[in-house]
Amino acid sequence: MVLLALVRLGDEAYGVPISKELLNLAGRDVALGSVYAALERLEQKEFVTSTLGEPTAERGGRAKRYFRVTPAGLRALKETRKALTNLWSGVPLLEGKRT
Amino acid sequence: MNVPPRGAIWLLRHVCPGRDSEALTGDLIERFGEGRSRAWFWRQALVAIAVGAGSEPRRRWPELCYAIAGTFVSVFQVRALLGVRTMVGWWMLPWPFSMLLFDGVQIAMPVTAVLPVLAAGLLWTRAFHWSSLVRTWTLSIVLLTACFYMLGEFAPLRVLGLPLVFGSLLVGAWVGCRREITRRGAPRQAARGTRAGQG
Repeated sequence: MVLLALVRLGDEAYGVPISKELLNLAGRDVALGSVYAALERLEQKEFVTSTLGEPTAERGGRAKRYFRVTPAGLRALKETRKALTNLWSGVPLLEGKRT
Repeated sequence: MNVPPRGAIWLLRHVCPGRDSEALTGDLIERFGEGRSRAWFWRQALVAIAVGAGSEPRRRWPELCYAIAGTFVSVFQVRALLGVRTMVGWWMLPWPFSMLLFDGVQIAMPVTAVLPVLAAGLLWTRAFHWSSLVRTWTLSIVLLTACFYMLGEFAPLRVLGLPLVFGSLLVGAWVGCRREITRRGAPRQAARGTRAGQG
């Protein structure tokens, strides 16, 4: 989900918009600390890279850390989508119940 | 204008583990400026500290391995070390060399013996620095010396021997390798990106 949020946000992906994106799209109010922990793990796996922005006054002089998905991250995202699609295609009963 | 809680900011700066505590604090201040409450800020800070502490063993596994190996060597290999001390013949040396050898072997040998464990872990995580090894060695010896003297002086504390030795080694390694924390966990690619961003 965090990777998807990064792809959607593009160049403006830092902690605040990422957490807002997760809240708006997935309905999950994820703590910012958890978002950073997930991003750190993704960075260790080389699925994302990060850069520090300029410090701003409205953030108490703290810089933003921008995140960007790497080609390896995009590949992982596509593979996950493929796996999920395959898994869902094997659940006809659930779709039948819904209709 | 409402100001964010200073205590929470202090905690985030000094207690929150991980590389991103400054950026996280900035994000929390930004959200607070958008109308979030002080209770929300405190909750977010405490969650960040808890999540950061939970991921510390994964992040700092070389230090953990060093502390486990050091505890094992210190506690379970004491007889072998005593043999080394006897072999060297500490009693034949003049004071203070005799005392240094007597106490030093028990403390310095296990620390030195398990230092390669830490070095290997740091190399694996691409965070190796000779200075962190020297700092860890020095701190571990100081803390273990204090620990052993305390255990010798206060007999009731002996039941805590194992956790105290483990804690001393862990704190020694944790503080000794502190400066390298930002390098670890961030791949070379990302580190390069960060430097570019800062420049």
